[in-house]
Amino acid sequence: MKKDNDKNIQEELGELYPLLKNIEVHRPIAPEGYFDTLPDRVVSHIKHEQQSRSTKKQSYRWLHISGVAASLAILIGVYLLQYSSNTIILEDEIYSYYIETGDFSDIDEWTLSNLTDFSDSDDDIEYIFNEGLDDIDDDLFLENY
Amino acid sequence: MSSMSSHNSDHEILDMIQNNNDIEKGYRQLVYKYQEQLYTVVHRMTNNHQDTDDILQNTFIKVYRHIDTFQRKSKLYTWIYRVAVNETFTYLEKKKKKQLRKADMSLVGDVVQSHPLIDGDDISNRLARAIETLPKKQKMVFNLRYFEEMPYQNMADILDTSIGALKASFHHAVKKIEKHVLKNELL
Repeated sequence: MKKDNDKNIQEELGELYPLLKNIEVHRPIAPEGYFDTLPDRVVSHIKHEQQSRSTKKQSYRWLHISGVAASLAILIGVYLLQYSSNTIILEDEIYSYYIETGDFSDIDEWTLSNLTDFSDSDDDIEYIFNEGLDDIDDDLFLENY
Repeated sequence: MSSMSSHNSDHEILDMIQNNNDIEKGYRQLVYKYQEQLYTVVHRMTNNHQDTDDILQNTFIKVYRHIDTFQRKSKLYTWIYRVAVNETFTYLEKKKKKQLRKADMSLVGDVVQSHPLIDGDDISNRLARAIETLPKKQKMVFNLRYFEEMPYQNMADILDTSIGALKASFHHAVKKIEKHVLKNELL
């Protein structure tokens, strides 16, 4: 790696400080055999790191799969909960609609049969009669009750 | 001396490592090729074998961890030297803090006393003592230029500094050393 287009180091030192020019340079000496063992030690460390990396990777993979599964389970759970609460709301809404409007003209047989709270309640029936809901389909009503 | 007499080119070594051809062989070649040069540079900064060994191992492990980010735009040896220099500075900084925590304020004195190359009172020893008084970055610049005879352009790539700044730093280092050596000559 030595030498280049730069000014020669000796010339440079000669200009800066002549005393440094001729000093004998000592090279650090490593313990005997050091350079024969260092590559093995480095490679062994690298192998160890590769192994622990692959173990970590596997752990992360399982963690990832578990995470996705848990997320899916939560999403499905939330969806099912929402669906069932929507159904309850729907029934409540139908019930409220017929009670509030008193308009049973468009009620169908299935809905009527499914309005269990409504159909089983004597109070509700009494309420309908008391409120004078004359336009209710008598045939249909009598047929079901 | 290394038992592996011939070195592969940087290109061949990188091919072995980056293309997964033979990662283990690639790293072995890389360490064989650079260990002695780096040992000298690092040892001149630490002045002891144990620290040098730690830094060299850390350097090669860092090279392993980040080899994928090396894009062959610069030379491999420049990049490895840069890793080694940074690792050396970090190591010395940590060591200094540790020693300061132990309230050992005579760090420079201790290092000079334990310097394996200083065993007399000739001009070489006075030079070694004078180098120990330099700040660590200036010391690195001086070592790379004076001992390794490294071109300024390579030093600039490794130390991420301009050539002008490096020349100024080297000049200051030489003047400080001159002053130190002359002072001790008079004593």
